[in-house]
Amino acid sequence: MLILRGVRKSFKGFTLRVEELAVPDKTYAVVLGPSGSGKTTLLRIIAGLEKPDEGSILLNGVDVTRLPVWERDVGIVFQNYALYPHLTVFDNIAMPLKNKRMPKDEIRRRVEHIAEVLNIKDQLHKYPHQLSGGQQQRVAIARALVKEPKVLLLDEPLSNLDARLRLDVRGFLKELQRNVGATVVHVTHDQEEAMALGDLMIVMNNGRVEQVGTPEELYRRPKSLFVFNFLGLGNLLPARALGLGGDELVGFRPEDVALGVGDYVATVARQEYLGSYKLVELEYNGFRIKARAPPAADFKEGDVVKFSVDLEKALRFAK
Amino acid sequence: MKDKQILFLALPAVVYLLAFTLYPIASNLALSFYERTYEGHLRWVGLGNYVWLFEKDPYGPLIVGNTIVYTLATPSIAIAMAIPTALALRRLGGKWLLPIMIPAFIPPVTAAMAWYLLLNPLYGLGYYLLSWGLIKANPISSIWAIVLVDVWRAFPTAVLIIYSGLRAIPKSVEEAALADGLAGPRKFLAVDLPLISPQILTAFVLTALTGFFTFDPIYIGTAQVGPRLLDNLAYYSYEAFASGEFGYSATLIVIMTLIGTALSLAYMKALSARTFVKLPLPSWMPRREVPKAIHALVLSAALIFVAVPFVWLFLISVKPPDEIIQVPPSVLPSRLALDNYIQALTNGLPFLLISLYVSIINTVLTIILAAATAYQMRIHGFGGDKLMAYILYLMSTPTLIYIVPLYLLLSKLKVLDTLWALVLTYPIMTIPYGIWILYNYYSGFNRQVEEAALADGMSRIKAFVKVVLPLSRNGMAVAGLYAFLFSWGALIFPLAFTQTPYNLGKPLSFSGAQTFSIYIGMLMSPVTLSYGQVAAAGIVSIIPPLIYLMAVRRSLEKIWGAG
Repeated sequence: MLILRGVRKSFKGFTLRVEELAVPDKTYAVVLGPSGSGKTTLLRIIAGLEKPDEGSILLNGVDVTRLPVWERDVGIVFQNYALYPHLTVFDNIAMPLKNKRMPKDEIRRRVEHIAEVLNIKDQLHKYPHQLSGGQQQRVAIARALVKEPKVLLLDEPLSNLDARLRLDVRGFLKELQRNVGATVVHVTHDQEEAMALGDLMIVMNNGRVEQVGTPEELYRRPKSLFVFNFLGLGNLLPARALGLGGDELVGFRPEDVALGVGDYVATVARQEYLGSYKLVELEYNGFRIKARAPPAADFKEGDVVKFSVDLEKALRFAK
Repeated sequence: MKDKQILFLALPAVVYLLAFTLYPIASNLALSFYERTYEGHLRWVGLGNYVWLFEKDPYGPLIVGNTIVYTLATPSIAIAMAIPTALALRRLGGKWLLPIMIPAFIPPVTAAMAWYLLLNPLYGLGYYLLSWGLIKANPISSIWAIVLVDVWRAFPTAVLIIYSGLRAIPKSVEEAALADGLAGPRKFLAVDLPLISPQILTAFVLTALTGFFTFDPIYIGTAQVGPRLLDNLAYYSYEAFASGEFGYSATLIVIMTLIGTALSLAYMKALSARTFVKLPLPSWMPRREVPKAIHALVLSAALIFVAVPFVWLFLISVKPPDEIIQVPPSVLPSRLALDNYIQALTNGLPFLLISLYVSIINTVLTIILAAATAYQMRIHGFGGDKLMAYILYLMSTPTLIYIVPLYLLLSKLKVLDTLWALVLTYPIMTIPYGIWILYNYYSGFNRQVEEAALADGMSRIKAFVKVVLPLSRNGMAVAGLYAFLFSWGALIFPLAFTQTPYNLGKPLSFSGAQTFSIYIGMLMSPVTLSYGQVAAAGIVSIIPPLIYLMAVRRSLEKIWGAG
């Protein structure tokens, strides 16, 4: 169990505060937030690359707050991989073990094992500049995992990969985590990536943890407007605009809108064909509403349609 | 080539360089097979000059020995000092880089003169070194005085290159090292040192070339202790030239050119191989960070080393005449005397004027020609790798190798001993450096700026003048700084091509063109020896470069990346 308790870290014009955050063992946790939300600082504090001004970090009940990075039992994969350009892949991966004064044959055995897991065993003699971006990343992951850390920290691991490769690596990361049984803390600003990977999602905003939960909890039961807006597509209207009582805002997802039936009437303003479905944007009394329709649905811009909203799934937010 | 206008912009500097460097290099080789007879004719002697140097010249072994000492000792000592200094800079902040760089910005003659005044066994601190028993022999007649001056001049460059290498190590690699259990000296050995090994190699080659071709300190030293003691190949070949032995001088220059070329080629090859030195990592190597106090101590020592000759020079320059030649020497003057400055400026005026004229003309010429060529090279690939390699080669070879053929050429043009002889030849040393600085500067330049100007209907030439040049201010300021420094501190060309001071009676003839560097050298010779005046002249010679340096400080720090 990784626990952060009462952590505070201030920079010029920015403060990170985490009252209490717990990541259970063998969990794939994703820290999600816009840039400047403090997610990377959080990761760096767990890693030991930043010292918090207050508070403590506990790893399996041991307070590691004052320990140097290398005594913390964490592995870090940097956004740009940060491989040693002057060392071969083998020596890159072996570096953490060498500094633990492990016997040579034990180092060799471990490096080869982890290289096998990451499918880079035939690259061990090469230098980083001879590898593709994807291969470099595997080396970086191998280097982080070779010391068998309790926690693996991933800083925006997919941001330097092209869109196609990103989906493959995403799946690979999750399977890898399940196979080695490590706790992962993965930082990203991409909400789709976060929902796809996370057993546990930690949404951050303005230096604070907004909400912690499973992807479904966060998508379906966001505790704040920020989380509702940040995850997936959403519609947000004053309750009165839908003929409901109260001064609040009503939020609902495009898939909670049914087209062709219901009491509301709107005009089709625009539509986007997205392959597996069609996103239809409605003009409704001066508001825009996004709705999800089957890909074959036959609308034209300017069509007048009836629609209904599944109000049981809708959320209410104070203005 | 795609475009005549590209050629128009790029060619002037290139044509000039090829004409004024390739011809002398070839001509040297030809001259080295001749000797001058008593009647002044050239006579074919085949390899006679080469045989003479290695088998018969009584000074041969001494000169080769001195050259080897200068070439190896200077870089070894400079780099041994530069590595800890660069580490201290990284720890304590780059703002200390500028003061450390100052020795690289003052005329080499002044640097040498200041050290010789400092080491003087009667009137300088050398007196105390001897009387306290710290040294046994007269320091100024030792070849190690030359090494000391050269280390002092080369140290800033070595620090700059190594420090920039340290700064280029990505922050994330440093953090990865922390995660892997590398910190303190352990990390230095496993990560920093291998990653800066290309910079150490660069610094070593550049400072070795400084030592190999060192000239100005020997010129000053020889004025103090007499001929031949301190000579290396470079100075000896100048002496041969000055006494009319053009063939023998050319022979020595050919040998130096070959060695210099081999050094710079080996160096370029080593750099392009893109290899890092790997070092064994002993398991006892500690992880604990070196205390900040140690870094502060190293940096203070470096700053004191840099400052000491300046301080001594200044103290002498304001001493009344009788205190300057007092034994034992006093450190502080009893009163501030300006007599030395008045004398130095009155007698030195013609020299000062020539130095200012030629420095300003050459700086402007260099900036314009180098910018036009460097831009076409970088953005339009003009000249390719070959031209760039030749530019690098010219940067690593000193001006000395051109003096014999250029002397003959200038005498045919009847411009010897005029300002024009200097204006014609100074760009040889400044344009290659200017092109190199601007070439690197333009690598961060957005070529779409020019394309937008073309799309707006400008010609390439107009686009270059109206759009590219105004956006190149930082690069031009720094290229101009180096052009000014080289011009201001030049010694070999004015020594070779001028004989008399500027004739102030006929100022517009611009005849007589000895420079301020020569004036300082003359004041150091036993005939005119006047320590007070020479010290004052030295301080004066430091002022223009420092003014220029301060004016372009921001641009320089941007290009150094040390802001």
